[in-house]
Amino acid sequence: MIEEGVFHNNVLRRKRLGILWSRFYFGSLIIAIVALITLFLTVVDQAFGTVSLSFVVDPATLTDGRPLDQLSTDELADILTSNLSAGRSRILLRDYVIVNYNADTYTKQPIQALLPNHTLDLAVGEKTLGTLSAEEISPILAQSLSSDALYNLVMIEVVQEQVLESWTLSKTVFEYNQIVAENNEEHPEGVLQFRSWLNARFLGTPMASDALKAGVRTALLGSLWIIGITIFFALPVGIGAAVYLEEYARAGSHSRLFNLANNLIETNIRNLAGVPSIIYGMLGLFVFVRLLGDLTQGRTILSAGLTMALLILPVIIINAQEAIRAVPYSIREASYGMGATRWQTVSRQVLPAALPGIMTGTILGVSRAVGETAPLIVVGAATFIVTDPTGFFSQFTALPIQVYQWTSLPQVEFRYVAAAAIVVLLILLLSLNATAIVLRNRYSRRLS
Amino acid sequence: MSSMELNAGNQLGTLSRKGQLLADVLQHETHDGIDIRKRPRINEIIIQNILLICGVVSIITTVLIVYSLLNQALGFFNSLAWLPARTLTVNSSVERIAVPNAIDAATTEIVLTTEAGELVGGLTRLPYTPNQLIRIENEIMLVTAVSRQAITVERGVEDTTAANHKSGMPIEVLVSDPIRLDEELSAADMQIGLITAGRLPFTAGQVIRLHNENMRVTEIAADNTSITVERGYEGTEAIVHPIDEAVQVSKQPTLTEFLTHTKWQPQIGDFGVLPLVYATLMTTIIALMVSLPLGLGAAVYLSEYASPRSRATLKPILEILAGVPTVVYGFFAITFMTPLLRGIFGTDNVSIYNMASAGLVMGIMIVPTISSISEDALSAVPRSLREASYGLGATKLETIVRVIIPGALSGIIAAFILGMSRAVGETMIVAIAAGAGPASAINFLKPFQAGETMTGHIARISGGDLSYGSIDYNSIFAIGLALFVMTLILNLISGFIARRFREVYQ
Repeated sequence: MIEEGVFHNNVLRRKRLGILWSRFYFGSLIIAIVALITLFLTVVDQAFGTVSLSFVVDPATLTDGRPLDQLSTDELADILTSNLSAGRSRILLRDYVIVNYNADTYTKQPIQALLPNHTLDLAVGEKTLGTLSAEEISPILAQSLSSDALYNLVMIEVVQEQVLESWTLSKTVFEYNQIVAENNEEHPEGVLQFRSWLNARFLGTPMASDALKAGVRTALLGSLWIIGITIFFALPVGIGAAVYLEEYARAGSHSRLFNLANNLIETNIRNLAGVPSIIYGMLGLFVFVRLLGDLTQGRTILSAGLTMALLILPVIIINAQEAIRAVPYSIREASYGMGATRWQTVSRQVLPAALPGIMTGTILGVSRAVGETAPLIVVGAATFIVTDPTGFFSQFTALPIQVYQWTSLPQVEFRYVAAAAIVVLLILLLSLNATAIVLRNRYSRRLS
Repeated sequence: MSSMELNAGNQLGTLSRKGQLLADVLQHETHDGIDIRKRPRINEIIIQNILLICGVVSIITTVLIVYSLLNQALGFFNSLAWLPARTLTVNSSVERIAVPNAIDAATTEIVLTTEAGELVGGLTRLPYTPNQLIRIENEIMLVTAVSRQAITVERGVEDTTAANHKSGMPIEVLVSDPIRLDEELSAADMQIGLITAGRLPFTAGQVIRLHNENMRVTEIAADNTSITVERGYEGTEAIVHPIDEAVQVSKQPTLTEFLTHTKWQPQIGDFGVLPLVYATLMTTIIALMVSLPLGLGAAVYLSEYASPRSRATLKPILEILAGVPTVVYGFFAITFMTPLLRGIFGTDNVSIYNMASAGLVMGIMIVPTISSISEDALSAVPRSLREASYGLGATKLETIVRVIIPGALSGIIAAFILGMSRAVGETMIVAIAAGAGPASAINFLKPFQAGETMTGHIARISGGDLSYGSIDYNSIFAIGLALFVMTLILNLISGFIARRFREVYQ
């Protein structure tokens, strides 16, 4: 017999141990969630903050109090020409508006001949570039350049802004006095300004070598193009494979060889899902970029999209298989009972019922493709590219690539730019996933 | 035979008779020329085949992966790295010291003191410097570090093998001199005069290279001052070469060197993949040390403690971790984890790029993988086992530790191995945070040092302007093949264990 006291103590000890460990189990979950929150906070912390700027002309003195980026093209062009020498204005006109000119004769040609698509006053049109006055150049600039382009020109040519130092959001909020002191001491000429590295202009401008002017336009468009190509190739093939495996390979008895082939496909898809993504990049580099180089023209958006399509194919197939499997068997039996053939049953009953699940799976796969970086690096994303992608055969860059490149740069400002790009990337992913949820909810309500 | 089975047998018989009847009807009764068996069969067959092709695409993908990796990796083992040809000569100005003790083939530290603790030969300091080549008998060694009384060496370099040496053998210091042209070489000249300090290391029939021109050695002069060659060999163009140009010889990677050597710098002829593998193992181990307890703990909490409602909120949050792009984790590692580690352990101990930071963040990334599969395994343990354990008076913790976790062990191991495979194949975190550069020093077991992993190396090499056919281009496929084999084996083991586990309770 065990003494009662010992027994009691023993029970108490076991209970205490149980409570201790349950805290550990809960704690590990909490650590994971805290890590996630820290991750998001780190990104947000760096996407916003304070910068110390120096400029040659204070932008506030250029306008009547309105911020520079809300002015019309006419006003911006006026600011530009009135703050620059006439010679500099003419160079801008030549480099940004005329662009294609004959270096030998352009100084002698009348301006109207250089700009055949513009409607100019007769008196202005007859002048040559060298005799145009600043007042005459301004409307031509306003007419042919976008407000974004004019704004950038004003910033580069007139304001000549430069970042002297930058601080994160947390510092801005908690240690602003220290920032002010530091700035006064080290950069007396620097003007402190709150800066959201993520802003409308950031979305609209391409990559630049200056952190203040860098944007994600090219990368965002590149990502969208790649998504489009990926879906175009992966979706039909993925659904086809899933339908085959679920509706054709399983049903009925087949020869041994046939069953073996089906098992092989099934196992193979499971294993493909576990292949590291960088290996797909190498597949893309060898097969799409080199072997099929004549078709894909090398390191292009098409090669990248095809590589991504292969990468997410297993994800789409596995999810679509699950969605198809979830369709109740009675629906198929009813359809067969009505005399429908197998394809009629699949196309008119099973697929519509499984569609929300397939959509969700596809979007999950696509969000994986959006965030993947390694395969694109291997396939050959361009390191510095400022022109928008125009088709299958453009060079490309993508959002995660841009994040990677900016993160790898030594200047701390580019870390902040990278953080802003991450926010864009996460918003893109979030909206994709939200679409998946909305689609699933809407369709499943209609069918039930 | 029990009555139940008899009954079932009867029913089966009835069914098959009914089926037979139906078949008879379909075969014989074609009233008024209407054959109800007639269906658009051709369409059906075409569609089935199209769908089959869709399924086969996945097989083609696998075949393409294996083909491209194998094909290009073979290209790596067939490619040549061109290195400057050198002669090794003994530097006679350095005094020869006799080794005081016998050295066996595995020792890397050679102590050069007498029994009294004095340096041998009455020296006041050792006459060696790091990166010097020394020779004992026929074995050449590379000095890596020199202390007051001993030298640390890398054994068996320069194509020699490590061997045992008796005491009293002299240590010779070697100098390596590049072999250069002694005068300008015209495009037609077949005889090449060379400046060299020792014996020419060429054999007849060997291909050598000057700038971009390959030549085949046909004869070596007995006095070691010139060789006769066949110019413009292997389709290269015979050109004029200036005086002092270095002669290059080729080196081809072998599988043995690839798998066993400890330096990786393919451009200069170091083909050992091990440093990359070590760095990969290091980051993987760190990641698993984080993700295994966290993932398993979270799985136990979600499966055993959490109410259905809190599980419904907590689980999706955990799954967001799995949806965050890896490049974002890389950013997190370099902007949060690295400064944190440097703050805790000191900036002197932790380098800016280090494996610990990458490994820790990778561990966080893998938590949802491990927790979701483990949780499935834990929930699959039948309720009856839990109830039996509670009935015997076990507490909840004892039930979990002694009954549920052992019951779900194979599933947990499968999750663990899958997590390992993800860590091995993860690229962006290590590419951003773990460091880069030629992997020549092995930083195994030094987590706060930089270390380039296999994936990190592939990403770095292919990020630049990679020209096809260069040894760098081919080498990444050789690494990729090794990586593919590693992850495939891990995935197969994981799948195998998971299947075994499924059979236990069904």
